[in-house]
Amino acid sequence: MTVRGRLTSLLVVAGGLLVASGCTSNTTAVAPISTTTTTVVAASPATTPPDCGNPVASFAPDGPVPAVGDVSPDTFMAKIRSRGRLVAGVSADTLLFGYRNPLTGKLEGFDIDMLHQVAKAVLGDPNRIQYKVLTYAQRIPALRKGDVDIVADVMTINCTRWQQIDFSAEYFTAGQQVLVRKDSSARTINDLDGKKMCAARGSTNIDELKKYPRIVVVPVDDISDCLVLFQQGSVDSITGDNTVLAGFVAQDPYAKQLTAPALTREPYGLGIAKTHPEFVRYVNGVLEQMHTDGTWSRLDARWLNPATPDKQPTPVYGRQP
Amino acid sequence: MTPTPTVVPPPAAPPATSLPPPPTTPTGPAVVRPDPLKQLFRRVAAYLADSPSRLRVMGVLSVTMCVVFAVVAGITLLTQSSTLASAKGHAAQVVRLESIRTSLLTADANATNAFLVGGLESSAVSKAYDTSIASASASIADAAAHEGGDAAVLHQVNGVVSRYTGLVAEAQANNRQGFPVGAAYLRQATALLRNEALPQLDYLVRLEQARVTDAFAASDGLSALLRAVLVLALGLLLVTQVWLFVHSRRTFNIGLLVATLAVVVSGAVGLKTMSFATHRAESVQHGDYAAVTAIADARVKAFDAKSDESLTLIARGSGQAYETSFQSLTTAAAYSLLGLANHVHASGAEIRAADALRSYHAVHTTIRADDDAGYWDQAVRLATEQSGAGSANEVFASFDEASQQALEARSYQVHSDLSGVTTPLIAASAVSVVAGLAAAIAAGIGVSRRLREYR
Repeated sequence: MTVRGRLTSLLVVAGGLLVASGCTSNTTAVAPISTTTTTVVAASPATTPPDCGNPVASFAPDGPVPAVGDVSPDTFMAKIRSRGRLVAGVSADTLLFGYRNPLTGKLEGFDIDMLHQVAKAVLGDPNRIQYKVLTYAQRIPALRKGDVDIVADVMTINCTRWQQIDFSAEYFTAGQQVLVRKDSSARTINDLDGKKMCAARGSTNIDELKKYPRIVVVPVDDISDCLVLFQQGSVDSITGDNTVLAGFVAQDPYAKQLTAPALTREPYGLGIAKTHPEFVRYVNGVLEQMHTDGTWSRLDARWLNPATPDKQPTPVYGRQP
Repeated sequence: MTPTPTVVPPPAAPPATSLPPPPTTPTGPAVVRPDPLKQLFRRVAAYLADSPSRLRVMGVLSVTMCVVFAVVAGITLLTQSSTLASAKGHAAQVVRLESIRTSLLTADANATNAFLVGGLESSAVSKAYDTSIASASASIADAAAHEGGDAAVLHQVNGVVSRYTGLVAEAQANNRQGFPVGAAYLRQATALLRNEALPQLDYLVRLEQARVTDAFAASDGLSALLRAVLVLALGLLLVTQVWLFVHSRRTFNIGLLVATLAVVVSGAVGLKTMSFATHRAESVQHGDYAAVTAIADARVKAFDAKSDESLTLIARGSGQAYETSFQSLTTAAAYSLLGLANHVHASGAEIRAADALRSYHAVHTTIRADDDAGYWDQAVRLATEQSGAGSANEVFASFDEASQQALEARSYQVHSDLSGVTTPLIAASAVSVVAGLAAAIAAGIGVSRRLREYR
């Protein structure tokens, strides 16, 4: 295997994807990265949701996005350029956002297109992306270990997560909703007391269910496993973001979302490790550019709202790294 | 003699002896109750005081011992034959069970590979999947029909296989509509197979292997029993003849001599056959049967690893667990095969299988390197293309072919080697029975002739 620079080899080793099964070299190589992350953990209070001000506030971009290749050498963007590809954590089964199109075998969706925009800006080629498919629970650890540069996977921005990783500005607004059988008479989540509800581990959705102690929660690793359980009759309902559930409804004519207002507001951000805020600023620049040149609206129309276009959330800045 | 006991308990009286049997009718102390055993001995001794009676007893014992020899030799030889036959049967069952496992793993590898390629699954792959499922079902039915086959567990496995095919069909139906939930169905199918069918089969394989080992061990102790009976029979015959030689003018008693010869010859034949069978069984156990186990095990592990390769690629960057499993499986498979291939008696197929496994591992290394370096599409192509020299499937197919050939050759050898000893054992058993009974008759005639001379 060709080693392209020190970081590549680090990433490869950190991913543990050595062809020889060498666990020892793995730990030593990861050590420098995990040291920085331990400091972050030490600084964070443990349980209660921390106050981080406005959760959706991110770092302001340094002016407009520079031309491709015009990045200072010691930045994270320069590292990505020298590697030649963007390493991105995504979902492969979230219809409309990040899913593997079974007909083409390619990853597609709104989140994937966000990554194409970032890759185009940094590398000059929207397709120079190495995807890593992650479960919800794997997203933050993968960023912290340096396995991926960026996560685009319907990820909600909140203060707990800000303590572990950084977020771009909000790029989409979703809300937690509940999916039931089409013939269900339930109107709100409270009508589902005592019923089984499937949710993904490591999601904000499953945390929200703590407010409904009478619901029997069935946790799974991958939210698409929820749809399998739902179709097999093992669970009565699924909770997830309305964006994800819309994808489920599209795959199952016998499912519907509750009509009650969303349980929560879920602002989506692109996740980035805490070690390189300059990349967060850069990505925020890309998001602004997408607003200016209409790319965001085009993608929204393509994937989500062909009839009634959404508006790109207005970026909020002011946070300091 | 003793004064009639008074009601007053005499302190001098022996404490232990109780009063109840009062000697109201005093009898002489000499006439105690007659001991039947002693009486018998006395009678036997009186009976044996004269020579004809002694001879008669020795004659009866010799005849009995010859019959005992016939029975024991017949039974031990037949028992050994049947335990080795059962070892053969269980060894064949091990191969059947392993073939169920490899068929299921092949089916799963094809299902996951078809998914990995995307689009409409190629007809070659779906055909391969159908063939594997059909052959797994056939092997399950076959194994369940085998006597002593653990039908209950196999029926359970059969149930899991039909649920598995249902889930795969569901995955395919979703795939065809472009629904990504198909992937989740496939994941569930794979997990079902790995959690509820393969461990059960693994358990049955271990059970059958233990039965083979037990059968081999059981056939070991039998020759000691035969030897003991043989020594006893010959000893009696010789003692009788020596006694006759001493007590009569004749040097030889033809009947007893014939009996001795018959016992010696059939005993030698029986022991010889038995030790031949034991040695053959030992060499089968440590040779061909050990090879069958090693090859079958290597095949199962390699097929399992092949699935892991696809699962690693499907997981796309988060499949480290599958890759770790791949490495440990292929290492174990290679260990089993190399031990065999490096042996002087390694067959060509075994050497080819070990080489092919090594080449496959090299292709896998390239696949991982491509994926790790960000060339996922290239890695998938290398892992899934059906033909093309050096593709993973092609190299793996040559491993499959060579190891299957090696497995068939070795298990045929186990079958024929063990069949080769059961027939001589049955024949030797028949010979011993006939010869032992003939010896009994000859001894009887010999002794009764001599007895007539006493009249």
